[in-house]
Amino acid sequence: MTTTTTTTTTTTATSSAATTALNTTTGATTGATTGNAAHNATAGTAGTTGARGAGDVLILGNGPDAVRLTRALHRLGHPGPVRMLPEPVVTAIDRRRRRVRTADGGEHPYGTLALALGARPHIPDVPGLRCPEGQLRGGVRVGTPLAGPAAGRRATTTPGPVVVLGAGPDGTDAALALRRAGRQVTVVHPGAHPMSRRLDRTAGELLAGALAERGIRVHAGATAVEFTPGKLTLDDGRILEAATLLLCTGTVPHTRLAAEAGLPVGHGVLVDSRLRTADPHISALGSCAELTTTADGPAAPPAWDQAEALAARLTGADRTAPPPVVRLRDPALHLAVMGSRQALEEAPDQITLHDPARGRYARLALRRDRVAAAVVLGLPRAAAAVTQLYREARPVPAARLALLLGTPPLRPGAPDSPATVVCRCNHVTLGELREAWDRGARDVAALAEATRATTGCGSCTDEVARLCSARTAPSGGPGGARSAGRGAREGRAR
Amino acid sequence: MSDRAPAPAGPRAGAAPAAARAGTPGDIPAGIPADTPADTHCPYCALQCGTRLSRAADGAVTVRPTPGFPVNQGGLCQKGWTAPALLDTPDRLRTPLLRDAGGTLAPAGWDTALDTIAGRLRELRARYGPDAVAVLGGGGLTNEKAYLLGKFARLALGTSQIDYNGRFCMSSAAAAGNAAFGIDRGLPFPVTDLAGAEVVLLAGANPAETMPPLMRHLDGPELIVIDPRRTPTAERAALHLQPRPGTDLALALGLLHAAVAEELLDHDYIETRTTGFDACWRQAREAWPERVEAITGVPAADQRAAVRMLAAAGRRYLLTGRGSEQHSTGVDTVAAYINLALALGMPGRPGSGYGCLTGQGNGQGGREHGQKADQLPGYRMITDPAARGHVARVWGVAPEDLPGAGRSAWELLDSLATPGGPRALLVFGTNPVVSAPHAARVARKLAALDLLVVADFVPSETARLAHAVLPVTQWAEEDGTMTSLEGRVLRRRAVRTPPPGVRGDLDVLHGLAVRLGEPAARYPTSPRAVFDELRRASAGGRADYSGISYERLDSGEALYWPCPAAPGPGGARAAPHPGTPRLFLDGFAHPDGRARFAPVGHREAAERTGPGFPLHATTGRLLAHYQSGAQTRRIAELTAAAPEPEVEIHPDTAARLGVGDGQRVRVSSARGSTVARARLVATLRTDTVFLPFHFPGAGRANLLTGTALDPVSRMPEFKVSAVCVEPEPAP
Repeated sequence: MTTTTTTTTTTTATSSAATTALNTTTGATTGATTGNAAHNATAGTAGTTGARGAGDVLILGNGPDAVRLTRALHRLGHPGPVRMLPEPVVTAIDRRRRRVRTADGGEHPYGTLALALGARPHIPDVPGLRCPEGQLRGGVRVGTPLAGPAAGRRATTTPGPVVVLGAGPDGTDAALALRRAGRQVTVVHPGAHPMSRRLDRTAGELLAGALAERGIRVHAGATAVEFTPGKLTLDDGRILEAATLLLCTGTVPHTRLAAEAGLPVGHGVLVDSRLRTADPHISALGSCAELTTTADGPAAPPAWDQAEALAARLTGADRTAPPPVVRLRDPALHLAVMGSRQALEEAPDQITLHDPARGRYARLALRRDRVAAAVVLGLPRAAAAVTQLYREARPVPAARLALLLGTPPLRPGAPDSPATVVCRCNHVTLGELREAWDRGARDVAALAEATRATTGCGSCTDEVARLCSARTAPSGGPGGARSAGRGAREGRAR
Repeated sequence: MSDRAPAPAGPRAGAAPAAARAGTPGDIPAGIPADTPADTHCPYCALQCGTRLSRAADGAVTVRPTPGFPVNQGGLCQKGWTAPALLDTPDRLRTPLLRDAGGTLAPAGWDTALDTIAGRLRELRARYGPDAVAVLGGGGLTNEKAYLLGKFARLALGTSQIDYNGRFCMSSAAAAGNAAFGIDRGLPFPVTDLAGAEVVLLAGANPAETMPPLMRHLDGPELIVIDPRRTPTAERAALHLQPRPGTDLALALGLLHAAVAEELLDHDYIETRTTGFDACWRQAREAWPERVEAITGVPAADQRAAVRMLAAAGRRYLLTGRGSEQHSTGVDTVAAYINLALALGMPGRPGSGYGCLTGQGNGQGGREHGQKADQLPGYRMITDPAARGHVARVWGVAPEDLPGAGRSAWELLDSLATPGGPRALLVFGTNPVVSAPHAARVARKLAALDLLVVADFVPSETARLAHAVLPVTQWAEEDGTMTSLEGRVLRRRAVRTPPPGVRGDLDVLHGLAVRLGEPAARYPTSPRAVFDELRRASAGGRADYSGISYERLDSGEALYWPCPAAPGPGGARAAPHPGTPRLFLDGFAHPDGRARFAPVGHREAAERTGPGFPLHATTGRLLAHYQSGAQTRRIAELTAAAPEPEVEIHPDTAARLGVGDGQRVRVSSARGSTVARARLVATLRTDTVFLPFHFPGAGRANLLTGTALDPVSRMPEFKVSAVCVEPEPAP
């Protein structure tokens, strides 16, 4: 196995160095699970000609999406070579000849090209965010993925109040994590409520309420007009204290190479549910890609599902990536959002559960019994169950209220019929116990001797005791075993 | 509820005594006096419930729970109570059978049978080399049989090609346990310790059905149960996590993530008693509960609740079963659960720990004494020169005479009758044509062999395919030892002599070995003599039995391995080693005394559902049956309770397929299809069906299961297959 090195996007602009800078990881070392040796294509392919098989995979990018795809390909035993080229060294994609050109004049042929180019944070055009030299001013941070423990504490170490600019899913999650870490947090969001692109008004207001309950101040319908150290000025004239300003204002997918190669590009590189671009030899995944099948925009990174699905497809399976689901990571909020606002409004069958007093809301928009879009808030079991149904396009169960409330289905009530099994371990029925009682077995021990009931795991002992007391008691008619209630324990005590 | 068959109107519905009887007049054994109760153990699962057998003058054997045996505490399940019926099953094999020129299995004398088999083995060996003959053993064999079978294979046959059905049972937990702790003993503490726990997490285990008396120890603790089905065990749980089949690994990683994120780690323990946490965490850090929720369907809130329950308890256990282990990700899944237990500081602490619920009766001992492809007695590795030297000395051969490691069970079966693969197979105590994955392929492989020999006491489905069948003794007719799920070595005792024409497995091995030119003394036929040799062979190994003797066991000592013969500090006159009921309290079995975290990340199951096969099928056991059912399907009371295969399916799913309760359906995977009656279960996941694997013929669940193997344990993926279900016309 080759040594795994942790590098950043710095690269040397020789083709051999570029192609062998494969094992780039981002903190999560590939370690034992990623034996990259098999994937280290020999360099020096520059300038060579000849068509490459589809199994010869070249990945553009070296961020998390690229690393995940490499790992997944390895895990699935991808037979062909897998190479990775960092995006900055690439100058062009030559689709006709199926090769990628690098700044050093190298050419890298591919069978399949996987674009994992990533995205950069979108920095809004607000005066004061940048220094004259262009970098972000002190106190201004960009949103970071909230991995691991104490995420809120790590998101910013500068003491003092934090203003989160942008209350999309990332901003909302960041605000919640910071608040859990004890920080004073204010959220500024241009929409009418947090996650306004995703949530209908009812859910949005519940979410705003939930944030307020946690002590997070929300300024909805507001935009920032100027940042000065320690202060953020809003368009309504208010000035917020901001020792830290956390920008959660979206991302800009790296689409230049794809666009210059003539691939269709929207916000990201457009792909279908199999992650194919318009070019059958080129796929894209992760934060540089935009699914045409949903109106969701780029997948929220990190896109494990897409890496798994693309790797599976490149190793011969026919796989689609499950549609992305927005799921906040606050342990008490339980918010999951699927599909677009449009789908939520337009799907023909709508199921709504609204319990504002307890902050619970679920709205399912169904099409042919499948979830087209959904919002689930404050219902942890429903969030999990609906997410699975949506991702796998499975029909919604008939017991829809149970689905939303997360109540387990009732076992069919065991009738007091003689065939009802009382002792599962020894398959003893109510009828057999009654017969044994009638023949003189009048306590648990005698019934056990006669029928073996209670002699397995022992959990039916109470029920057998109830049967005894029900039969003993004057009111205990036949069939009283289950209705005898609490007499049983007294019976045992005697 | 489905219209299950009504309860049997058998004799016990009347005034018959609860003690179960079996026996045939005239079968009066010689040598064993009647009316002398013998304390032995149930023939079935790894719990090895204590049973007291009595034989009346007419030969009838009755069973009762052994008073005072702590494991079953006076309990038995229906299988245990009815076990005596197995002794006199009408189709008991009582004479060797050889396939004649017309293809019929015909009775033959023992000498003829053994001469014929040995002759064929010699021919095949001479023509194709020693690895042309393979052996498949079983986790139900006594320690003595397992040991002698391994020795027979390595010396008399000279083959490396031996493995056993425990590969399909315990192998994933064994590999993960060895890696983490340096030793693999299912429960490194007595079963009775469980009763003192506040919380027990059962990951993929359903003891309420598979080993009911164990539940007597789980009455007090709060249970967390992880199972795709709402099993009787799950119904007793304070918290039931119901993952999509095949996602157990992701769930285990999510639980560890929750433990870290909620700051529930036992840092002192991690610091002083373990290594490797950082690498483990680097793999698990991406498995946050909400992501795991999307993969598994288990609510993130429930993942956190489970971890909080475990962390808040002072005394807690984490136990895995086949549901975690029978996957192509089985070793990593168990390792991920062990990581969780280590992160919370559980293993090797009084009142807490990790354990695996072993399945087969001698699943523990059966994996310690040399019937596994890569092992020699005493849990020694066959690739270790020191281990080879020790065992070769005990066996009186040169180390280089011992073959190397062979193929794992599935790879062995799949290689049969292929170029370079074995041409002959000897089967002891297993029924692979029902119990192995992709059963139709196994049947084809077996049919293509030049020689298939099966030693069994009933005409199992595999025996029916054999060229030669050897009738052997069963539990109440033989002496020996079994090692239960808690690592305690137990005496199996004969209560009556076997029927005429039946021989012990040790006799069979002796007879074949001698005919293959081996010295007679090398293959003792007395279980005690074999055990004494096993003690020497195991001495100094991980599973050291050298201090255990029949005398000590018969005197009532409760001996858990390791139990070395080496004298203690007092020298040779010191008291014998007391055995080791609790492992790891002073340190783990690695040289540095520390447990190892395993760096495991998320992997998917080998097979996914798709348009053609939209449902997950998972397989498992019913209360009334055991393993391939070769034994329990011969007991009227048990077949009355569970007469035929039923596939459990959610009512919504059934309705979409046009299937009603009790209707015959065909369940198909990429491998093949099986036919069963639909049983509608509202608590099932709508994307999952469940099939029991105890039934033969067209009802074999393993006609569906796949052959993807765990890369380390070589465990097949029994627990998840992609299937479709359709109504099946009446035959």
